[in-house]
Amino acid sequence: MEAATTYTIGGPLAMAIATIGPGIGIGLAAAAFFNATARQPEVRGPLQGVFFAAAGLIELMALLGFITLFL
Amino acid sequence: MQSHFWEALLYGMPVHVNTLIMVAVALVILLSITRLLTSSISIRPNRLQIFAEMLYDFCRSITFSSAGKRGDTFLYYVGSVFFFVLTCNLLGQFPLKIFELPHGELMAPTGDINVPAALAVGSVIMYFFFGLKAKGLKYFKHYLSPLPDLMAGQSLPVKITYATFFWPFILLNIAEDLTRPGSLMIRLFCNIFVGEILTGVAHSASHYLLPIAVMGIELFVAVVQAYIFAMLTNIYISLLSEDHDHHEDEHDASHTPNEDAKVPSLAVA
Repeated sequence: MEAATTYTIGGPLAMAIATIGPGIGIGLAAAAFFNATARQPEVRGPLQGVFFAAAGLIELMALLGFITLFL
Repeated sequence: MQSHFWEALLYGMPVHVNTLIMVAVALVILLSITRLLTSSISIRPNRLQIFAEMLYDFCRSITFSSAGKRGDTFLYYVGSVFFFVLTCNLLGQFPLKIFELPHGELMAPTGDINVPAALAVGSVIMYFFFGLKAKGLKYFKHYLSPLPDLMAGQSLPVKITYATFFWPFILLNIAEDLTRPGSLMIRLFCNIFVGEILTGVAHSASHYLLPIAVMGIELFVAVVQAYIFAMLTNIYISLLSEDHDHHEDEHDASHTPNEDAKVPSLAVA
């Protein structure tokens, strides 16, 4: 840890910007999931798996932003 | 990044010994649990067997959701991946700091990028294997994917026009074989690695309550990431081993009210 650590604004800023889109995206997906479950409660089981898979796909965008922290 | 790992040379190649230790621990745990659960199989199930059948039903619900009965052919791979990733993720929540290592420290094996990379390559090999097994050499036709559908029943100039404008899709389809394992790998690695960092940050902020809350979130993330990894592997395999000639029959068969149609609901969250 004695190695000189340089802090730059670019990486954290990229991370911060990269979280905006996936946040909105997962929010929309969750809202649609809740609406569908409220209208038709029996659809919850099959939809839950699809929702988590979609959330995982959307989440990848934020994780790519996280990777830019190390570049 | 250097200080995390205990590096050693094996036949001239650097390996991370702490990751190897944790993978071995995960395998031992998995194998012993499997031996325990299947020790007394009988017609009248006892509690252990009911629990094992519950786990099996859960894995089957993953493959059944996208492939129907055809999913039973690759159920063993998807289920194994699910439980291996789940065990690896959950191992990170144990108090591993009490074990002293010469270099580095023990952490969840999926927090080292080599383990997710190996699992992702395994997924690619499996979807190639099942695709080639189901379709033979017709498997490679999916690289041309939008062109044959567009060109069906068109005249020759229209075909040439389509080929002129849509040939980049072939490159995209080939690139998909690289982006699929890449995204699988990055998703799993980053989630677990971020969890480790987050626990460390919470621990440096407060020693008692905050890390517990973060680790609670991590338990949820561990299960969800294992589920997503198995689900996406299953989707890739079932998508690419789908034979269009038999598709209609299976579609009808999946709607008949037999006992297989009753899939237990996914109880993840």
